[in-house]
Amino acid sequence: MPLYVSIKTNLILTILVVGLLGLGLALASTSVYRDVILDYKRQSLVDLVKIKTRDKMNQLEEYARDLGNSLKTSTTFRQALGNNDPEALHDTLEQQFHQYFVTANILRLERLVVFTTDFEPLAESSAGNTTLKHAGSVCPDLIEQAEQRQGAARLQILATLCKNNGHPYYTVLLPLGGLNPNGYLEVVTAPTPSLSPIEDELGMPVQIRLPDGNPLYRSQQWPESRNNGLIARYSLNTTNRREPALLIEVYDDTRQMYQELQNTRDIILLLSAIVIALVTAVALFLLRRTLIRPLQMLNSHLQRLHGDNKLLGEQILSRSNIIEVNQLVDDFNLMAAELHDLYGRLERMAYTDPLTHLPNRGLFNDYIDYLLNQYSGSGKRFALFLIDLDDFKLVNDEFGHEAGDMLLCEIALRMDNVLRTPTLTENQGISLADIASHDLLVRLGGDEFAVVLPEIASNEQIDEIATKLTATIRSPINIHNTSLATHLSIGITIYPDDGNGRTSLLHRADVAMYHAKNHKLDYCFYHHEMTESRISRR
Amino acid sequence: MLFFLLGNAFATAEEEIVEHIPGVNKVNAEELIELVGQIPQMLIIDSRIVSDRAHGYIEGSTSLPDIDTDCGSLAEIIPDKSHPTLFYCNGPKCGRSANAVQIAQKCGYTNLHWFFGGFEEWREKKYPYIKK
Repeated sequence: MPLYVSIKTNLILTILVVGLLGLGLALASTSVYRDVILDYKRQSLVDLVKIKTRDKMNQLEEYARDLGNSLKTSTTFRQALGNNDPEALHDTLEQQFHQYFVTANILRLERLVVFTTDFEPLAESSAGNTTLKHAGSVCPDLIEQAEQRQGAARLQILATLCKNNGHPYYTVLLPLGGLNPNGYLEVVTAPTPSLSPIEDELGMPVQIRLPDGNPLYRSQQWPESRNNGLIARYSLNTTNRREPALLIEVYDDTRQMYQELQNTRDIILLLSAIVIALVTAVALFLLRRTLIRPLQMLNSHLQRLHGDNKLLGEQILSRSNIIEVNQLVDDFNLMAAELHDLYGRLERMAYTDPLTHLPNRGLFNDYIDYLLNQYSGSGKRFALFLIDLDDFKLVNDEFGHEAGDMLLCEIALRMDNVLRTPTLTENQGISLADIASHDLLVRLGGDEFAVVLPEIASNEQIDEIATKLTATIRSPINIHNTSLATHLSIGITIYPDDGNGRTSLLHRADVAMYHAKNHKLDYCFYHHEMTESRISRR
Repeated sequence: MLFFLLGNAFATAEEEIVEHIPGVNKVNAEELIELVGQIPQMLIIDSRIVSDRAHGYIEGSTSLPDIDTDCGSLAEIIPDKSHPTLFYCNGPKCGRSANAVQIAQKCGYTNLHWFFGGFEEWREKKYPYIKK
């Protein structure tokens, strides 16, 4: 079943659908943007952690070097090294774990190892709670790398991040004994305590854990649930083997960002809704001006036409800004004019006698009804003449139908000319409004005519016209060079004296007419005693 | 006139960076280490002022700022005119070591070495230094 909707509804529905699509797109794009923003934010945080980690590792190297420097410049240590005394060296190394760098938590010292120039371990010391289980070098790769060096390179300080027993260690190897090294010192530190201050610098909770997931450090603010934020993870690799040694994670609470995104989205949606509402209002306004109003005018005109055919030729004069609407109005006007013309012709055909061009019985009946309606209770009077041509059949039989027709036309013409206002005018459109208050001559059929005389002031007026009618016919009529004499019989009724309805008036006029014909009278007024007492005038 | 003066000022500033001193052996960090390995009695003189030296110095070096360098102060440190002696300061832009070397030259010292890159190069190349 087809769905019928107005242009206005159509437009509103279209704009609503477009608006909803826009809304959906805005929501979808917000989600996409949020994901993109999150990715960027996570990557930025990873980069930030990477930079901070590098700084911290450089700082750790600096501290380890300072610790080594302070050790190698101590006289006790130099003497122990010069004497190649492992026990004295061990004692000196042991004391380092109680030095400022360690006690002030600047670095977490795990082990100190002194090597000979051939990288043979000479002495070592480890912290009491160290995770290191085996004696000797913590980063064998570093020692191997140091051994392979030649010339001046043997004097360079080496630093490396390595793994020992699954744990990360940051180790610095320093030459001992000035520009001609007489040994090496390996300073082994745990990097985690040096990395944990990142939390304060970034202002975010930090978690540092081993690649296997075992946590080494976790900020107090580290959340139990991570649903409200994102985690950026940076993997710190060992220097030589490039394998993950530590995972440094920072947590960023994204609730505020989400809230701001939400607010921005809400503002955009609100603005969109306002824009859509404005567009709808403007579109409706324009549509009303350009399309709906002209169409409504057209529709209302059609409704008026439906009730009154007289308005058929009336033109719509209003114009629109829309070419198509104007075209429609023009076409409608053209069609209305053609219909008006056609309707007029049809009306004439329906109301006109084709032979005499006089109005026919149809118009006569309508006119009588019209007058009855108009005159009812007004005190006005009208007269009805029923006219019959005497012996017309003889004319037809003797001279033929053509002559009879010509006779009828001539009689019609003569009678019409006698009336106060001739019926046969320019043969314009015949309508009741046109002929109201006109004398009307009609041909009822055959040789029977009728005359309606509205607004009769006196019976003398009727007498005068009836007399003129009979007189004008009395003059011979020339048909085909033959002079024909005819005679009329007229029966007259008067509204409201002789009846209140068309049928009664006609019937009584007919009675009066036959009365005239039977009594050889020109015309006869109806009288209710007509069948008993015949009134006639000649 | 102003441009002329400014031009001269810049020209002077550029001219202050001395890159070659005739009769003096210009070395880099590695050559310095090799040299010390070959000549253990090499005397290393730090021509920087004391506050600069506090940031760190090459182990075994002796402090003698260029502003204090003259034939007398040199004679107190260097045993004889032909003793191998190396000067350094903060780096190429420092100019103090170049100044001190030229003073030593004028004082008649003949076995002069000049570490042009100075402490900047030394530290960058991760060679050990002492900081007190």
